[in-house]
Amino acid sequence: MKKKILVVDDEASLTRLIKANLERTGKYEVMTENQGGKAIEVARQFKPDLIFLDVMMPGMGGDEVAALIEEDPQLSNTKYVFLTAIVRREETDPTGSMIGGHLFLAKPVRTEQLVATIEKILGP
Amino acid sequence: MISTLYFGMVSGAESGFRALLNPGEIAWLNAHPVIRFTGDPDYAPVEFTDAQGQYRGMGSDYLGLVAARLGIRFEKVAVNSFYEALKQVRDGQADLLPVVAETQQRNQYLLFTAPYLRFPAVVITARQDVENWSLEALRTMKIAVVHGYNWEDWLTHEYPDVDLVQAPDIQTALMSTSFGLADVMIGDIATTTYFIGKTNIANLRVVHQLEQNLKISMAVRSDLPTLRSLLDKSLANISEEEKRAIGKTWIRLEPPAWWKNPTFQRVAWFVSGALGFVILATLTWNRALARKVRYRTLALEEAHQRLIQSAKLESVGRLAAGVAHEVKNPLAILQMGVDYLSADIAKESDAGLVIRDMEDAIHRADVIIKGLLDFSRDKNLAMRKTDINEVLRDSLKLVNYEMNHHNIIVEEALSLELPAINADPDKLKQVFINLFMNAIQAMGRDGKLMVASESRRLKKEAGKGANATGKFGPGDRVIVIKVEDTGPGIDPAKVGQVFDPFFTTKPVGQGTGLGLSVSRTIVELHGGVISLRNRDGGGASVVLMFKIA
Repeated sequence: MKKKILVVDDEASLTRLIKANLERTGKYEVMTENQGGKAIEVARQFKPDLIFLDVMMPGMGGDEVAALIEEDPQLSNTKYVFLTAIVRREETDPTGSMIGGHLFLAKPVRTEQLVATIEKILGP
Repeated sequence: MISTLYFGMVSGAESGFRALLNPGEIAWLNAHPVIRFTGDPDYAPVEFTDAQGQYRGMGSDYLGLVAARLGIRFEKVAVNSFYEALKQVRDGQADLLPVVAETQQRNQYLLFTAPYLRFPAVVITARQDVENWSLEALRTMKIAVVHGYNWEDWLTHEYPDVDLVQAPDIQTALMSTSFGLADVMIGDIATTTYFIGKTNIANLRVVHQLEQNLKISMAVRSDLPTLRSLLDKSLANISEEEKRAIGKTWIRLEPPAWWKNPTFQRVAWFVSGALGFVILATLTWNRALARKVRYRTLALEEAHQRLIQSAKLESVGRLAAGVAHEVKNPLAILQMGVDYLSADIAKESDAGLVIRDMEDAIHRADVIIKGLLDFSRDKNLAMRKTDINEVLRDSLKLVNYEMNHHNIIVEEALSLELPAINADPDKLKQVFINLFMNAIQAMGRDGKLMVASESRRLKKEAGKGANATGKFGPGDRVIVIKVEDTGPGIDPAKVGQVFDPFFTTKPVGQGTGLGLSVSRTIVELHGGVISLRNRDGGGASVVLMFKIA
C-alpha cells in the first residue's frame, strides 16, 4: 500500500511540484494544502502517514498546525517534518535535523532528500 | 658456630612431671644438660629471631615450657634461614628443631613429636580474574613457596608437574606474588597474614583455605629418640590453659574466625569501600545524566522556540531572515521544478546541460542566502574571558588542511604576555577563519601567512590611526592582532570597499562577498576595530584591535 503524504505550504506551485515529484516515484499518495488553517481538517480526512509542514505561512503557521496534530487522538500516529527557509542547509542533515524535538528540512530541498526523509521516518 | 645461650638454667622443674619419666630418660637428661636447637629466624609469629638476636615466638614459648619441665638448658645455633637450620640438624651441628612440620623427606633424618600446633594452609594472590582456587585449578599456575617449607615438599610430592617459584623467605614469596612473578603463594595462615600485615602489601588477599593443615611438631636428630620421647611427654603435659595463653600472645588462630583475619578485614574494607564508591559513582552519574538530559531538552526546546519565534516573523526587523524566506521559497520551487524536468531529460542532452546549469544557479543563490543568514544571525555575543592566542591557534588548526593543500607556510608571532579579554571566542574564530581563508584564496599556491599578536598601550597623541575611530583613547591598553599574507594584495582603488557587503574580488560563485562584512560586524560588536591595507612588500595586512578592560 502506498504511503500517504500531506504537503502543507502556502506556495501552491511548490506543493504542486512536490506532489508531482513524489507521486512519480510510485511509492506515495500525496495530498496538498496551501492554508495552514485548513491543514488539520484535511489531515483528519486524509489520515496521512507523514506531513511536510512549512513553518512560515500566513494565518496559521506550521508550528500551530503541529501543536494541533500533537493534540489530536485521530492523528496520534501521524508524523510531521518541518520545511523551512530559515534554517540553513548547512545546519541540517540532508534528511533533516532535530531541533527542539522536531525534524527540520531546509529549503530548497531536493526530491531525493524528501524521499530519504520519508524512508527514514516511515521505513522503505 | 656462635651459640646463644637461650634459657638460663631452668630450676624448679615441676616435680610432678619428673614422675612421668622413666629411668632411661632421666639418665639421658642427666647426661645432656644442654640441648642445641635451631630454627627459622624469619617465621614470625611461630618462630623468629628478634632484633636483639633472641629466639622468640610461639615455638620459643613452648620450648620454655618444655625446658621448665625437663630442667635442661637450650642453646640456640644461629642460622640465616630455615633451610640452613635443617642442614645444621642433619649435619649434627644442632639437636632440635622446635618448630617444624613433618614431611617425607625430613623423616629421613628427623624424628618428629606429635604436632602441637595446627595452621590451615591458605592460597594468597594478587590476581582478581580467577574465581576457582581449588588445588586442581592451582596446578596450572605458578605457585610461590618458601624453599624448604613443608608446602614445597608436599606440592612436589603430590603434584610433581606443578610450576613452583621458590623463595628464600615468606617476604620474598609474598613479594613475588604481589608483583605477579607467581600467580599464588601457598603458606600457612598464621605466618602469611602476619607478614602481609607487617609489610603492608596491599594487593594481596587470602582467597582460599586448603584442606591441608600445617602441623607443627618439634623434631630431633634421628639419633636422639630419647629426646623425642622426652619432648612428647613434655608437650603432652602442657595444659590447655598454657596453650591458650601462648596462642593469645602471638596470634588469633581460630580458623573459622577468618573474618577476624586482618588481611580479610583489610580486603573486606577495601571491597566494601570500592563497592560503596561504585554505587555512589553510579548514583551521582545517573543524577548528572538526568540533569544533562533535562538541560539538553530545555536547550532544544529553547532553540525550537527561538526558531518558531523567528519563523513567525517576529523578527521582521531582521531583513536578512525575511529576504532568506522570500528568496528560498522561489528557490525551493525552482529546485522541485528542476527535479521534475530532469526525470524526463537525458543527462547528456543539451536540455540536460541546461538543467544542470539551473541546478548550479539554485545552489549558488542558496550559498548567498547562507551568507546573508550568517550576517543577520544572532548578534548576542557569548562573552567570556578569552585567550586570543588560543582562539588564533584553534582557528589555524581548522584551516590547517587548506594551508597544507596550498603549500602555505604559517609564521606565528604570538605574544606570551597577552592578557585575557572579554570576548566571544566562537565569533572571533569565525572572523579569524574568514581572514585566513581569504588569505589562502588570495595567495593561491605557495605563500606565507603571518599571524601576530601583542598587547600595547596607545600613544598619548590622539587623532591618528586607531584613535581616529573614536573607540580608543590615548593611553588605552589594547590587543593588536595582525594577519598578513604574501598574495597580490587589494587593488588600491578598492581598499575602501572591502568591508562593504557583497564586495568580492573572487570569481563569481567562489565567494559571497559577505565574509569581511560579517567579520567587521563581529569585531565591532566586541568594541574593536578592523582595518585592511596593502603591505609595502606586497600582500594584504589586516589589523584588528581590541581594548583590554
